[in-house]
Amino acid sequence: MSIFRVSGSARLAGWAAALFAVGFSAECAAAESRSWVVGWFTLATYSQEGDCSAGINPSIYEVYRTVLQNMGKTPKEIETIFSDIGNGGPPATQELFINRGRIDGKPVNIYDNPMSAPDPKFREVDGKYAFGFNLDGKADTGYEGPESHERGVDNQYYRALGCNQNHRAFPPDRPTHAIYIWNGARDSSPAWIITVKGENLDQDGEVTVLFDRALKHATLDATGNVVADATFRIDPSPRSHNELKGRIKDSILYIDDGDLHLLGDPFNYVKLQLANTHARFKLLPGGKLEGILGGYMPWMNLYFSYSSHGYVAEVNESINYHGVYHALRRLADAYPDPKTGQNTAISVAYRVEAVRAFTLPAEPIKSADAR
Amino acid sequence: MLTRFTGNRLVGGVALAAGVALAAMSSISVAYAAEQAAASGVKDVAPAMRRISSDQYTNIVAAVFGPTIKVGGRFEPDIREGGLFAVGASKVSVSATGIEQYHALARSVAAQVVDDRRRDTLIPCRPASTKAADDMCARQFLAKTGRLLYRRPLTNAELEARVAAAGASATKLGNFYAGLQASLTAMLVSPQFLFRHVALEADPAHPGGMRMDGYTKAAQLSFFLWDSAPDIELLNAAENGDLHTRKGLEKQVDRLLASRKLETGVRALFEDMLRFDEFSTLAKDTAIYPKFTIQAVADAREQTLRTIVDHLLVRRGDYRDLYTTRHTFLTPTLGTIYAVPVADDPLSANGTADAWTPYEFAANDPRGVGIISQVGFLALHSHPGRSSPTLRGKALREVVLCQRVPDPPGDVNFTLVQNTSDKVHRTARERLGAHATEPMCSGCHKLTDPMGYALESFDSDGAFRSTENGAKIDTTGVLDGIAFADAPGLGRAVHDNPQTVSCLVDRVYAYGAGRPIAKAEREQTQALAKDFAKDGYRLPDLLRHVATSDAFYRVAP
Repeated sequence: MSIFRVSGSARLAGWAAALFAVGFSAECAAAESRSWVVGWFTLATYSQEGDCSAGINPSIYEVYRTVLQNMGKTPKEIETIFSDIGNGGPPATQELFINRGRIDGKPVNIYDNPMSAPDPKFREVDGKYAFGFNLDGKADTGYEGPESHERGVDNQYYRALGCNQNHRAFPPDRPTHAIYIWNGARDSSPAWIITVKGENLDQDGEVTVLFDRALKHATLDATGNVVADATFRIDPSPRSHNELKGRIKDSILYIDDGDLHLLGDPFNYVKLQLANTHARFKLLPGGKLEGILGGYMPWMNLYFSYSSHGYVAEVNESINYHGVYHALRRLADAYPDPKTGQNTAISVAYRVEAVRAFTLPAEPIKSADAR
Repeated sequence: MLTRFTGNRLVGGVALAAGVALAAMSSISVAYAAEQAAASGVKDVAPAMRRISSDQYTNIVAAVFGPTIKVGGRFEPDIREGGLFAVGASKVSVSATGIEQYHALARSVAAQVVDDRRRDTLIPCRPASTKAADDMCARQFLAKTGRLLYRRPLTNAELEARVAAAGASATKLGNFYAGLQASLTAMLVSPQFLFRHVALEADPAHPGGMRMDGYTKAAQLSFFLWDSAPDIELLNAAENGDLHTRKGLEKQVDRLLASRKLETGVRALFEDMLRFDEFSTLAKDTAIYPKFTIQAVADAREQTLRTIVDHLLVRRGDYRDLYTTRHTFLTPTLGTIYAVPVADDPLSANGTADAWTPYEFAANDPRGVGIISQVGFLALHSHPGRSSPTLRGKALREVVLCQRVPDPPGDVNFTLVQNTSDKVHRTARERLGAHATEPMCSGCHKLTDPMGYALESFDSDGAFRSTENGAKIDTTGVLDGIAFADAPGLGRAVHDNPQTVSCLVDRVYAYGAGRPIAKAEREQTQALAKDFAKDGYRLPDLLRHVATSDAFYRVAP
């Protein structure tokens, strides 16, 4: 079933199901239930020497220089502009770069109108390895999983953006773009909660995996990581309640299919929306959960998570958002639009790290009188 | 007054007492009482003066001027004597820099009192002109406020001096309120405010003898039960002589015990007794204990105090049950350390957000059994990077049982104990066992460690654990011949130990009296302990017995 169609009646039914699941079945259906709060969630990178054979994409300032040159600015004018571009430069400079698109020869906002300028053709990751899953069942297309050694790993998101400097890191290092985005989302958006239910989670067997959104954001410990053993009330809205089938084998939690829909926040992650969801999470001693979550994601969702930041973030993150749009669109590999044939989804793989948490059903706010 | 104190660099209590004597006290000075006592062969006397604590300063300002007055600044350090700051308060003075700090505090408080927002509420009259002196209005304010700050009426000389100072300042500055501010500042740095004095008067019941005057009694009572100065009603009772009658005294004691301010007083008592001032310097290695944040420190302290107040005042519980109770209060932050679910969305009684949730640990849960198994005690008496059966055992002996454990010799080799990655001695018990084979160490460790081992199921941050370095933790222990298997067993042993009760009685008495218990008072405290037992070990009853006892107000025991 496609994740891109949810009717109104289905939402109401889902609401009731979610209330039942959170408030009742959570206590009765499974012999054991454990929850984790997501503490790290970003594009899974596996950057290595030589995996961008055409080189790394130009920095944003190099892009801007080219933009100015194409506008017909003289070298002296360009240097004048760049002499005062710290923190994005004065408003006039910002307007130049924000409105670098052209429609009928008139300047337009490039983030809102990414088709108003030609595809800058990002360089792509053409190395051997990438995290993810073989989503299309074809072993001869795609990467090889660096840890699972699965063949045919589909991760076009990484292919599209992995040759930008701020999207490059080899685990356990983290890409700077991810740090920028995730830290903001983590500290302000309601936390994402993973709950696993089964007869005995210390043994191999079938399990049910719930993905939910909490009513509050995660809090940090003294080292700056999401604190373990915190308590979260679960958002009863069905928009962020997901129940998937999974299995545990040798202390690894697998998910092999299903749709996943988690609201994020308008600024950082508009929403996580996966079809053909796959997961491979290690259940580590001490209670942590770590691994890869993948599937097909509407690439426009991804683009919005970049473009909604606008100019200042483009400068700070040093990545050409206009190029992001074209790369995602070009490399999208699933769910073609029946009319245009343009793929609407792109294969993705995220690195997920989570720590143990307690969950409680949502509780209506009580008035002073009621108490 | 300020100039004289800073100029003379008064650092000793005696010197300061001399300064106070100059302040025209109407009653016979304490120095004289001490001479009288010495002449009669009695060695112990009531303390000459006690410096008010930072909390008492804040409480008084809030009581007199309202809770919106901000008291920000640094106070002089306190000295703990006989296990209590309340006793050490008679041994401290004010340094030259301390006077400067008090002066800054006083100026700030006075400025807030007379500012545009508060003057109409806090000043009971309006000057004829805001730009000139108004002695009548100033006198009205200073007399009323001075009585509350000095815990007695101002003498005529004192009042007129303050009124004259206010007038001179107002004239010079062209502002009535600036003059009032200057005079109020002077009152707030006066030793009459910063120190509690014992004023004596002839005792009609014992011709030739002396007794505390009514105002001294009132202060003794209010600082004991409220950790603050007497209110108007108590001062009136002092003025009327009611506090010298059994009926009048009991009426005031019962009123103070029924007040909500009693919670403040009980908190102050236990903060002092349990040495909670040490929370201000408590820190953990966050690489090892990442959950132990600044918020966790604050919450840990508050958890124990809430447990105490709830158990002893709200539930009127048996004091001994503080060491076995499973009822407590938690915040989401503490929930992460105890690893129990605690949501942060309840509302308090008045509808505002309250992070605290009542919590009861299950009967078979080894965590949270009594206040010695709470994060506060466990973390306070541990090292920054490891737990410590020795520190915890020492604290139990000294804080809960009022026993003295000698400090370690200066040349002890702690290498073995501190090596938490020791492959051979993986648990604290094993490391201490090896360390305590040294004769110079074994004596004291026998006093402390057998109790502390029971708390080894809690790491330095108070989090529960069953293993250390992969080795199962042995939590068996012994307290004064009573063996137990774990922390709940230790709690029960403390509960049943007679010294747990006698220690509290002694501490409460010394806390209120502001001095160590003299030998001559042993009979009195033993009688109090008997009454305490008879009453079911209810703290309010103990406080009442102490506060209504004749001995509590005796000049010399």
